[in-house]
Amino acid sequence: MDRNEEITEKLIQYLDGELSDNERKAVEELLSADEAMQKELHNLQLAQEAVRAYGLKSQVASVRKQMLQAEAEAVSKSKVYPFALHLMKYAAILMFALLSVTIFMYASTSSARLYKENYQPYKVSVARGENPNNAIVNDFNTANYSQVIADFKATSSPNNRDYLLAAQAYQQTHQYGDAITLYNRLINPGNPDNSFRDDAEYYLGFTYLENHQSAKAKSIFEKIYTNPDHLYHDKVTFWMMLRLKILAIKDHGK
Amino acid sequence: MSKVIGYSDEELIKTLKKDRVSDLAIKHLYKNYYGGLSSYVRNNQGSEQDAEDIFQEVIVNFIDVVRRDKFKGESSIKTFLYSLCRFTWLNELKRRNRVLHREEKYEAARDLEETDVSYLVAGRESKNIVMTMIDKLGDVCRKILVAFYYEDLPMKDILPLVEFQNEQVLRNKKYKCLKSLEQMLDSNPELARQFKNALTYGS
Repeated sequence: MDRNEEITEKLIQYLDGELSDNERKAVEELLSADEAMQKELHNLQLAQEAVRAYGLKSQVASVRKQMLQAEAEAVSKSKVYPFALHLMKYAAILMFALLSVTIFMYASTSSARLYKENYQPYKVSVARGENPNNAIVNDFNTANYSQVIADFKATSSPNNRDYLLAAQAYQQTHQYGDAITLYNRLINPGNPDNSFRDDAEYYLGFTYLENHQSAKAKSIFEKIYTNPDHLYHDKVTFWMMLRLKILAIKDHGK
Repeated sequence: MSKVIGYSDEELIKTLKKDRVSDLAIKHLYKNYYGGLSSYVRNNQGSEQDAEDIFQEVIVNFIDVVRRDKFKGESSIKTFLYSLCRFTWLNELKRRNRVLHREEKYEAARDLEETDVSYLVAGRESKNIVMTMIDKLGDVCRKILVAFYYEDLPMKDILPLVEFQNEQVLRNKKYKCLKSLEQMLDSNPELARQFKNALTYGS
């Protein structure tokens, strides 16, 4: 670094306030006797002022640029937003409707209601050539369910229909445990005679419902719903299954 | 978009006099005065770009005037900015040789009714030339000098902006940049004199 450069550096340090007191005094002494140095100091000072003016101009320009960018983004968003807002509005309406339906279904679903809305009493059909004076059948048709149970107990070798009617009689007299036992006997795969099995399954489902065993009811109705060959397949609808699922949730899987 | 604070005239002056010029104060000036002042430029032979450039110059000038305690508050900021804008635009039109003799008379008549800020506009050409000189120093020099002399950043904070090896290299570069600018001013003493006058507004 030559002497001129050294002087310039000292002058810059002097202006920047980076000199010690002694160094500053030394520079001031040199300055007082050197016009060229005074001129350089003056120009350096002016150069610093110019940089400060430039800095302010740059800051204002930068802020303005940010504002214009933000405005441009806002305009661009305002073009996109109406469509997005419409979409969100319809989605919200749909969500609200779905939520309302779900809440309504959840609140209105109960074992009793499902039973009431879907249960159809069993109708006994008499096979051709069969004795029309069968006591169990006659008592069942007159809704004398206590007598049906008594008749069933008195029968030494009941057939599958006798079991079904007795199970129905137990169900109607709210003796669900006995009804379930008899229905299960008909459903049991070990039973070589599978007549009335579909009837037993269907009505076992309702017995479970009445007995507040919604998970078991759901399971058995699901079996019927998924089997198109089942005698009662058409009676178990999607909505019935949906409400059974809700009921199972409400009953915590009981 | 960030929220723009609404300042009263007094609050704005106080804010602008702080060490660092607040971005929010600049935004406030744009939000509140750009509309009216830019339409003045556009309605008087100016383009949209002219309006942008003149308003920016007016804002820079106003902030500088305030920071140098040259704004005495004898008129509202709005009136002052309007006068500054008119004088700046008129000066620009004169520079472009567009002002007709008839318009000059008209402007002279109007000048009597408003704050005379012509002395604040007088040195705008020399200022613009010096700003162009700084542009010519190059990106690195501009960054270093503005960061050090305008933003008051310490060397260690400037270092990552220019990716120099160490502070000594940065210090040497700063020295060279400032010296270059000093030499440009030294080679044009009349410009340097006019620029100095412009900075002190003739006082």
